Amino acid sequence: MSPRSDRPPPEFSSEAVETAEALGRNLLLLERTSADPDPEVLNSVFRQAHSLKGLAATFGQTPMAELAHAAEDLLDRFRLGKARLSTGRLDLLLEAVELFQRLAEDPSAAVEDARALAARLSSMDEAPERMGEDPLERLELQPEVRRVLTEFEEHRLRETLRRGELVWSARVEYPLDTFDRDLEQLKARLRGVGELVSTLPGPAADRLDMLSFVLLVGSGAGEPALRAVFAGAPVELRPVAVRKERRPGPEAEGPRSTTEGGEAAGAARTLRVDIARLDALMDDVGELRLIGEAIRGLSDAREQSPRAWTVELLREQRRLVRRLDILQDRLLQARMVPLRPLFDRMQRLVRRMAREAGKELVLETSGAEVQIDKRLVEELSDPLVHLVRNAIDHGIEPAGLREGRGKPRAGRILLSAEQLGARVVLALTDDGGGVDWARVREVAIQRGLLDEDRARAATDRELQAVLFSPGFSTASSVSAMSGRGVGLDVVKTNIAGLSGVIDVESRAGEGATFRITLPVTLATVRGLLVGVSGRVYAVPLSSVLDVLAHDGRHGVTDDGRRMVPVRGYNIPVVSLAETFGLPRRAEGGAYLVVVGVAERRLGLVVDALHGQRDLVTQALGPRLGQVPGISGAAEVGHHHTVLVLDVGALLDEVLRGPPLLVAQA
Amino acid sequence: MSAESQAVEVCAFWVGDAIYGIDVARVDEILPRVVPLPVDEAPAHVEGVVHVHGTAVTIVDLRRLLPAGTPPRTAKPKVILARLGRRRVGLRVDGMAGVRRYTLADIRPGGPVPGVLAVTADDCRLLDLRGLLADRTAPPRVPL
Amino acid sequence: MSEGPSSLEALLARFRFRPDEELDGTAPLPASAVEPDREAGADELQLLTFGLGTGEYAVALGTVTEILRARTLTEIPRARPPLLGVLNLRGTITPVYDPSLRLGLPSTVPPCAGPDCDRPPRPARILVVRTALGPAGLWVDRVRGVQRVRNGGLERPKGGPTGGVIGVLPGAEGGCSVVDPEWLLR
Repeated sequence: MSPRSDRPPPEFSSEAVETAEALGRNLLLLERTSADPDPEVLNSVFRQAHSLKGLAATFGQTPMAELAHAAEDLLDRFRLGKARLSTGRLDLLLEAVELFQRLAEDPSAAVEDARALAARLSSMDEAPERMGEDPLERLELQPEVRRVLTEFEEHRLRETLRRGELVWSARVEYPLDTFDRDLEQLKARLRGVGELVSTLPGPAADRLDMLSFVLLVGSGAGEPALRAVFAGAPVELRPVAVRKERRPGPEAEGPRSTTEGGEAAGAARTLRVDIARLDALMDDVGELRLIGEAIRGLSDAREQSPRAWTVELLREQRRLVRRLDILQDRLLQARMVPLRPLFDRMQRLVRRMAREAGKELVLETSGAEVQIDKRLVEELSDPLVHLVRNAIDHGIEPAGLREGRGKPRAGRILLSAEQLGARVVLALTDDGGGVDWARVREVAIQRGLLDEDRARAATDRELQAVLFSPGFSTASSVSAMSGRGVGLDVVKTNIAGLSGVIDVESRAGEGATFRITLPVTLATVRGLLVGVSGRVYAVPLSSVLDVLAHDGRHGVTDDGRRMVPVRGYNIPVVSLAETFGLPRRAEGGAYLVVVGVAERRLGLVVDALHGQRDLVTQALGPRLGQVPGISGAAEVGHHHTVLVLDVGALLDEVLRGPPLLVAQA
Repeated sequence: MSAESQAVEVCAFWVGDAIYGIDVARVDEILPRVVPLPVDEAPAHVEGVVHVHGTAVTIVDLRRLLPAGTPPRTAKPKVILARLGRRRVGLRVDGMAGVRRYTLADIRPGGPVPGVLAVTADDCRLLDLRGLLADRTAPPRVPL
Repeated sequence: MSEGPSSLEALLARFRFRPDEELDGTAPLPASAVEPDREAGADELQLLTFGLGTGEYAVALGTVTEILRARTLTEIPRARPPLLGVLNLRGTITPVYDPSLRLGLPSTVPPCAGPDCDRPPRPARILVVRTALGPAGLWVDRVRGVQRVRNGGLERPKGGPTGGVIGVLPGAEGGCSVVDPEWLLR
């Protein structure tokens, strides 16, 4: 176990994870375009590996630094044309991306794997391709220009010549105060006609307020097209001649500049928070400062008129509270992040899992831009992986079988996200064999989860409860990814822990859709405050289906459960006071709060209702671990903390066994 | 440097019947009533420690280090959480007297009491907090 | 009336706050640094002493982040001792425990959570300590104060060190057992 003091600071983890994610995306892009890789992407992946190495070294994360170093070397060889991009190598690099992310979260997690992978990456040596004579020798570049070219730039020049294109030299001048913008604009235009290989400082300009540059451009477009790009900017444009025969004698070469400094600078940096949000937050702080000033000024006013002073003070206090509310709201909003990195991760996983399972399939995503609370994203990862694994292992059929059924060879999995008001719905749809409800029924009976009659009478939707209950699994094989081979109950528990709900829709032979519905933010929960034996608890409103007055009467089922009829159904009820071992209050008015998750229903008998509130919830913390029936706490009023009920857990505890709605006879 | 740029902003307070001041940049917070935990074998002016934002802070009673006197009736005792180098110390005073701004022209050096660096035109005594709290008489086994 | 400006400037320089200013000679104790102070207490240990029942105990001052007046806690349903309840400490839910159980003493804590309990006794305090699993509170009957002891000044507990009792402070009747909060809260 790594002691707390070894953990690198959170800035390290988040930056490492982001860089690794970007690297992963770029690697996938390279795979798709391996015939003609974009030099900018090649450069980016090299820089990303380099900055991961630097980041890891700075924070003393040796295994990560070593792995990043090995990756960087390999990526360097790619971009210099010294090694080919092959599937095998990309696989290893993608593995490295996974390890970077794991190591970023927990440095002790995968040290051995990282070392092993670094060794494998380093041993991927390949003799440089036979190049014969270097075409660069024939290019009439001035020695001082040739001297300062980096290895990468030389490679790109060779590529230009190999493609039969010309190398152009363009000298431009820009004013001192706008040259950076002007250059950027020029570069953008150049991309349309060719490749900007190098930007070099030019000879001194005539005017002191101008800077001159020499650009080396590789292009197959003719001179008119190039001139058009430079339109408006004074330019000396000429093609660099290529000699017919080699110059006799070796060229005097000065020491080559190394690539270290220039290329590595500018590691990819991403803003995690929208700038507009930060600006708004700064405005809020500004407003708060104004209020602070006003309050300070009040102390002078005190002598003059105590009465007016009090009024002023109260007014400022109200302003303060309003401003703080707005600030809090904005900060909560700032916790929202897009689902994209999670979806990207799924892409990589699917690639690997499909190969391991020997299945052909395609993963499509939609709605990656949907935003949810950062904490939710972290917690969603495991359940999603589980569902994807299920879909790949048990959902999608082998290619041959699919063809036989008239389906396309490759299976299709769609991971989508949609925001509906205060909720986000994530759906995982596959076009595989779907859920075999008949088999589910059988297994339920076999395992004693349902008795025969109930099972036969249950509809597909009602059988969902069985599918999600512990001890249910139709697969006899245990795959590495899913670990213990336990079924969907783990997924369901995880989702419930996020105040979410999961259900499944499926038609045999056509596929299945698992739908996860979540509140957009974990941070605030709208709760119904209920009184029980003098205590106050909060019930997440998202789980509350009904609130009724309760006169205490109930029916009793054969197995001793209390039931109360509600809207045509008999609902099991339980007294919260009893469940929590609290002293019972004298009989009096009571209320029934009907809660439900997915298909299950439960009525909670409480003494009083105390209204609805938006609550900022806090986790109970690692010390308290799991408190049965309680999911967290929230502050209500001054120094008054209420506990938030875990409806899913209460349902489990009270109902024991798959509950089915029983229509009133 | 112009005389204007040599201005100081002073957090002024009552100790006894006189007003003293420290650099407002030193002041982190004004604490409400505190009840310090006694510390064994501490000098008389050290009241004890109090936990503020997670760390223990020494509380010093300035009334024992400066001349006695009766503060005005409206003054309410407070504890000023002040910075001293890298540390913080709580200074118990008889009451607050606002934040005041002085330029060189408002100040004359020296003061009637040891520990006072200068006195202002409106009789605010600028304190040498560092010197005042140095305890040369305490046994040397009390490093900070 | 005013003297030469240069001496006034010198005085003002001494008056002004500089984060790197040196302190003259020695200065009041104990460590109260703005940043965590690594050199403090190089040769001595600072302990916070408190009472449980009739016994006296102590923990390292550095582990204590706050000392609060004991107050009514939020009850955790079906909580098992030694958990007494929780506090909301500036946004963090902090569990509060009764240390007597771990020390093998009869509990002296009155009912202190939920709506049916009385006001806690006036001298009772909650010591909030830092642990590897986050902050946790210890309900104690009274807090004495800070005691300093030279390194090596602790005596061995009778019968050798047991689990969390690191040593004994010499002194008044029965001595004062110095304990490790992590052990106390395990």
